[in-house]
Amino acid sequence: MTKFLLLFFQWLLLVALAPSVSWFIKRMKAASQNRRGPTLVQVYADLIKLFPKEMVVSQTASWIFHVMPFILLASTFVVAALVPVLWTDSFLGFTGDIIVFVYLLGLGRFFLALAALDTGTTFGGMGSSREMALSSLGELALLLAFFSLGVYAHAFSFAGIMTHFAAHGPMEVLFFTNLAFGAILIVTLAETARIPVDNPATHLELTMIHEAMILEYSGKYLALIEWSHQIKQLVFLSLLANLFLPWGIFNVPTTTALGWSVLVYLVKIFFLAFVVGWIEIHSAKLRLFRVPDLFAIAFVLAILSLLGQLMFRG
Amino acid sequence: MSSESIVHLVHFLGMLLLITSLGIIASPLLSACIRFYAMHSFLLSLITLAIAYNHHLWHLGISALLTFLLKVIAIPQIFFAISRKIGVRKEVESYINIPSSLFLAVILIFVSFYVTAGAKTGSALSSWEFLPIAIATVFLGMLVMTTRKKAITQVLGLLLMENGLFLMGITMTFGMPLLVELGILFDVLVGIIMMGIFIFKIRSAFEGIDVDDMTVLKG
Repeated sequence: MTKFLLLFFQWLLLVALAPSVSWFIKRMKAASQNRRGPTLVQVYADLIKLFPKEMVVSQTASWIFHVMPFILLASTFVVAALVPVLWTDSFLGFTGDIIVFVYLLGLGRFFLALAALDTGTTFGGMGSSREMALSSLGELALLLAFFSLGVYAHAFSFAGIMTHFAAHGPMEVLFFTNLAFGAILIVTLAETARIPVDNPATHLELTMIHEAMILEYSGKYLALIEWSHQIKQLVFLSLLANLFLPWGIFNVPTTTALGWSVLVYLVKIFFLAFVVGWIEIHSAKLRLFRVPDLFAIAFVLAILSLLGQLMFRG
Repeated sequence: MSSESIVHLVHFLGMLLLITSLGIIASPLLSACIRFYAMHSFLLSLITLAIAYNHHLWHLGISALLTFLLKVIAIPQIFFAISRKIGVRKEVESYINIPSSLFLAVILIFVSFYVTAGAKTGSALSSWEFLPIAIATVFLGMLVMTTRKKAITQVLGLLLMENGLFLMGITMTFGMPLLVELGILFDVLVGIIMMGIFIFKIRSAFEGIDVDDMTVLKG
């Protein structure tokens, strides 16, 4: 029972913390531009305020338009339950959850793209075709990077990989995993629509990808989509933190250990959010035809990582 | 630091070395290429230093210092100066695009791992893993030399190859005698200066440093 409560707590933490991570990146970006940026309360207030607002729905919209936000949120919730946060175990962890993770994200994305096409606007079609083209490249790199970690750790679940890495010293692990880290970092930037791939702050028609798809949404649905996007971002950051820096994670069932674990987790997450924000501040958005080059780099890193595992073991 | 953790550190640096040589291939800007080369050389000097510390070979420390001074500071500065003076285009021009050159790079790395798979040296060296990385660096240098259009980036490929050979020398044999290494480093420096002069000559003769123009020299 305590185990269940603990697992539920870590899931709840992940879901509730998500908006504050995007607040942190927004605040960082604002500071670099001599603005003040939103306060922490503001990001939560934005979400809450969107709920009672009236929705404007296109007359041509079919049921897909109405169902999509719920499917997206549900798939993101399940994804959040798959990822270990404070503990080496997760709510729904089992062998093979890596593949389920990737394809649950794919399910959400599929419906997002469909709903964007549904209302028949030009921007929606443009956004979903871009999203699909780019994610088909990113998915490959993500899966390969996960496989390379799995081959190294002899485990095909997040929990197994983490436990294996946590038992070894930093340099030993980093030697094997830094290529996969690079690959997953690039995929994270793309999946969470951050700057080298997509700009989350603009509605400029030529550049937007994610924003173009949700342009037709308002009110409650928009809040659900925004929230699931923020959860997805935190899920990726948690994965990076826990797979590649698995030290200091909770494994002894005491309250102090849990407290430490929460603290270490927050430090790791905000450090990684800082890295993402730093990349965002210091780089310009890539031209759309340049983005496949970035994915090519991620793919090369992932495949080299897999190759390295097979060769060095030899 | 214990010698075990230094071995792991050296391995980690070796992987970063491979990543920076891929960076030279992947980066679309000339200045980024030069910075990646400086980073590559910096990692090389760190590896040399770590090996020197781990095996108490102090003459390697001197060559690490020389590598740092020459390849991290002097040569990149010469490159920046040349590219400023002749005003080359900022973007690297190559015969094949970046994704396919990365693809070729992966194949080359595969090949270098494959051909060295049997060559686990019997000596007590901790670093047989560096043999494929060194050979891969030489291959990637050749790739840069053969696929780039401008003379200045081809010279960068040559330097990348030289770094690969240096890495092999350091990790396989604990470095050549200091005198030989001094000679090599001096050679590289003189080579770069001569390349600079050549590039100026090529530009004044052909009004550009695109080596395609030289095919008109055929009789």
